[in-house]
Amino acid sequence: MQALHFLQALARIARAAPKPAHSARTRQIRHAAYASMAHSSRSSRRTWSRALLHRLRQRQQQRPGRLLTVRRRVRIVTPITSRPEEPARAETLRQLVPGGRGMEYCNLLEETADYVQCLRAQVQLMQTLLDAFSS
Amino acid sequence: MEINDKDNFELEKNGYQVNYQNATFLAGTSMPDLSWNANYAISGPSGPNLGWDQNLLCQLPKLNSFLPPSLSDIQADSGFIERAAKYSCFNGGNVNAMLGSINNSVLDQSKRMENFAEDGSNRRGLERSETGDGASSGGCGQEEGTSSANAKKRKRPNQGNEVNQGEGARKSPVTNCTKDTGEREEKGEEKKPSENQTKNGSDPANKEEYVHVRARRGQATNSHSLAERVRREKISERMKYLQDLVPGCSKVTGKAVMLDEIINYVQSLQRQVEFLSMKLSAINPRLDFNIEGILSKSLFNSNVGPSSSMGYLPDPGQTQLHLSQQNLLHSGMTDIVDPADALRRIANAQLMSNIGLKELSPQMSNAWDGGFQNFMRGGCQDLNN
Repeated sequence: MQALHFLQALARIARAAPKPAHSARTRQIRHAAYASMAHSSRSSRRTWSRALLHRLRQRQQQRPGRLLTVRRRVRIVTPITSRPEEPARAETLRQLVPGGRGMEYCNLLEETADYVQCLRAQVQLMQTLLDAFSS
Repeated sequence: MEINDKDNFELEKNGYQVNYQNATFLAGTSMPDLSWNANYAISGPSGPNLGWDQNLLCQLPKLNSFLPPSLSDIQADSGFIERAAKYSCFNGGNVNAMLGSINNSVLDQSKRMENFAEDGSNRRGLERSETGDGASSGGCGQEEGTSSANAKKRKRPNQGNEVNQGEGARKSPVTNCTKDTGEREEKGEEKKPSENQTKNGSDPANKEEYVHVRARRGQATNSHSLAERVRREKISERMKYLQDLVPGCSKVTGKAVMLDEIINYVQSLQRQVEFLSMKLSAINPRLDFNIEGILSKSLFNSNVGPSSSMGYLPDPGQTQLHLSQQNLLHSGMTDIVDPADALRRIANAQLMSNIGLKELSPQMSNAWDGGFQNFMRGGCQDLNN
């Protein structure tokens, strides 16, 4: 599911007018990578996938140069200042994992595990593609 | 003091940590009238949930128990009774069980009959309030309620004394809220001889109740940490799972270092995604559109089924598509578990079908795993056939 989505997105990007801007295509490919990660069957129920899609949609809306859409903070369960029992690096992890700020620590760990799995699969996929197309 | 000494001794015998200060204090204050101790039924079997509620209940009546002792207190007690009953209703599920157990274990049959004969709920409310006044826990209160009600019925004149003693005994619990259970135990211990005197409570039953008090005491302190313990276990379980996921973390122990490793790994993966997307964008102009279309189409077909996607994408190479599908079927890859693997196989099949076997096979053998090589050769033979 993840691979399929990514390949379709890649095909779409390749078919689209190849922009000379290298960075623009890079951005598109990265966007496609994260979108396919979020759409994978294993992670569609996860918090991070929803947060990731939301973030991607926000970024896409900003791209055309429109005014910034009002970002709605859905909810913040835990205060920004982390709880004393959490380790100090928990805040960093929250920033890394999409949607990590609204979660409690144990849920954060679970989401991190799923996110790491999807990230790893995505990296392997892209590596494989590179190898396939560069050879 | 003899009896109180005996109480302390029994406390030690049962292995409780006796709050010596409170014990002596209680002993000193509650000496005069042991019948008041009779009101304190031994805390019976209570559910594990009662710790906090009981503490809460303990404190409420204690705070209110400083009213001047007099017979008019009975009316105050009634308002008190309602409050205690209200609070004890929180433990509604356990209350009935406790009452049942209390009735079964502690009280005489006659007393029980008396209890049932009267207005059951009111009596129990009264009992609860009564015991709530003196008892350290609502759970205790119910049991004590029955016993105290019985005592009440039988020893009306003693009530003033009981209230007096209740006050005296309550002071120490109020001062030390955290030692409620200890106090409970002490009161239970103190009650024991009085109950033995006043009622025909069986010793084993009393001892069982003490055991239950003990359990409750342990749980009372852990009810706050019980949830924490569960949470800690969940967190450690997830950390172990993450340890398996993140490579090279089996040696690392400790949550802090593990967390650092996890963060580093996530950051490195994200950086890899960026880097690979850059590389992909670099090679994108060289992409063979056919390959892309066929790949996606074949993937789509293998996922969904041959019927749905025929009109979905432009079909540059029908024959190749069929061949690739046959390949897939031969390999038995109907379910794609690992996208990278699936992609590899499909890419191999497709590329070999499109580009040509001989060019790619040496490259493929370099690029892919050995296991795949055999598969590819087998698949390519099918293709060639």
